[in-house]
Amino acid sequence: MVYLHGLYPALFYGVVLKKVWLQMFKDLDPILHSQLRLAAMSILISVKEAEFTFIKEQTNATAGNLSVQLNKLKDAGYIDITKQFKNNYPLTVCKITDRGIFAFEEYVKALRSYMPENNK
Amino acid sequence: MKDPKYNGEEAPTHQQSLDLINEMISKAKKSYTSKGIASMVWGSLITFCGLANWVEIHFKKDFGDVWLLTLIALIPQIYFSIKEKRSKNFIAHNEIATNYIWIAFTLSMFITSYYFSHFNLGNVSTLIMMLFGISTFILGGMNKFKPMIVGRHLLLGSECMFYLYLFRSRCITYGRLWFICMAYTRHYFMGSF
Repeated sequence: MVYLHGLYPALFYGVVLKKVWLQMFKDLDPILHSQLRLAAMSILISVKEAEFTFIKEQTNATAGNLSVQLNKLKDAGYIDITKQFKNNYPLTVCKITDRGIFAFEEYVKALRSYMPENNK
Repeated sequence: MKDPKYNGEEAPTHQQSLDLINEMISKAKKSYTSKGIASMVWGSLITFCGLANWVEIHFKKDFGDVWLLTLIALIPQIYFSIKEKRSKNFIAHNEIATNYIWIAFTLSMFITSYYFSHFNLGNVSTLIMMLFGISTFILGGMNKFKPMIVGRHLLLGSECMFYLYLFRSRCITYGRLWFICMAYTRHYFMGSF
C-alpha cells in the first residue's frame, strides 16, 4: 500500500513523457506511408497537374496498382482525378489538393523528426 | 519489367521514404526542365540582329530590316511548341506564368511598334530589346537559370551604351537610365539578382 503513493507521480511523469514523445515523434500519415502513394504524391507536388501516364512513367508501377493507389489518395481528399478525352482517347489527369499539400508537408516534417540528426 | 518495390504494400523505412521523395521530385524536375535550346536560338538570333543593326548604324550600311529574321524564326518555334505540347503529359508550376510573360512581351512589342511608327518616333528596336530583356530577366530569375540573368545584364549594359551613343530621344534615354539606376540600386541593396 505504501508503494501506491509513488504511483501518482509516476503516472504524472508518464503522461508528461508521453506528450513529449508525441511532440518529438509525430505519427506518420498511413495514407502516405506507402511507397507508391508517396511516390505519386512527390510527383504531383512537383508539378501543377500530371496525366496518369506521366506518373506511371516516373514510378515504373503497373497501371492497375497505380490506379488503385491513386484512388486511395483521391478518397483521402489528397488528390483530384479528372477523367476526360483527348483525340478520342481517355485521359486521366491528377492534381494535388490543398489538403494533400498540407498532409505531404506534415508527413515530411514528421519524417524529419525521426531522423537521428534532428533528435540530438 | 515493372519495378517490384511498388507492387507490394509494405511500409518503407523513414530513410527510404525521404530518399523516395527526393528521387521522385528530382525525376519530375528533370522532366520539366527545358534544355534551353529555344532560349539559346532566340538569344543568338537577337544578338545577331542587334549586331547587324549596330553595324548598319555605325558603318552606315544597309542590310534591309534584319529584325524580320525574328519573324522567320517564329515558324520553327511554333512548329516545335505544338509538337512538344502534344507529347507532353504534365503541366509544370511555372508554365502558366511563363506563357503570360511571353504574351505580355508580344503584346507590348506590337503596341510599342505601332506607337513608334504612328507618331514617327524613330527606331523602336532598342525599346523592344528592353522588353525582351525584362521578359528574359524574369524568366531567368524564375527558373534560376544563370545564363539568362547574365544575358539580361549584358542586354541592359549594351542598351545603355547604345542609347548613350545615339542619344536620339532624351525622354526615352532618361527613362531608361532611371530604370537602369533602379535595377542596379535594387541589385546593390537586395543582392537578389
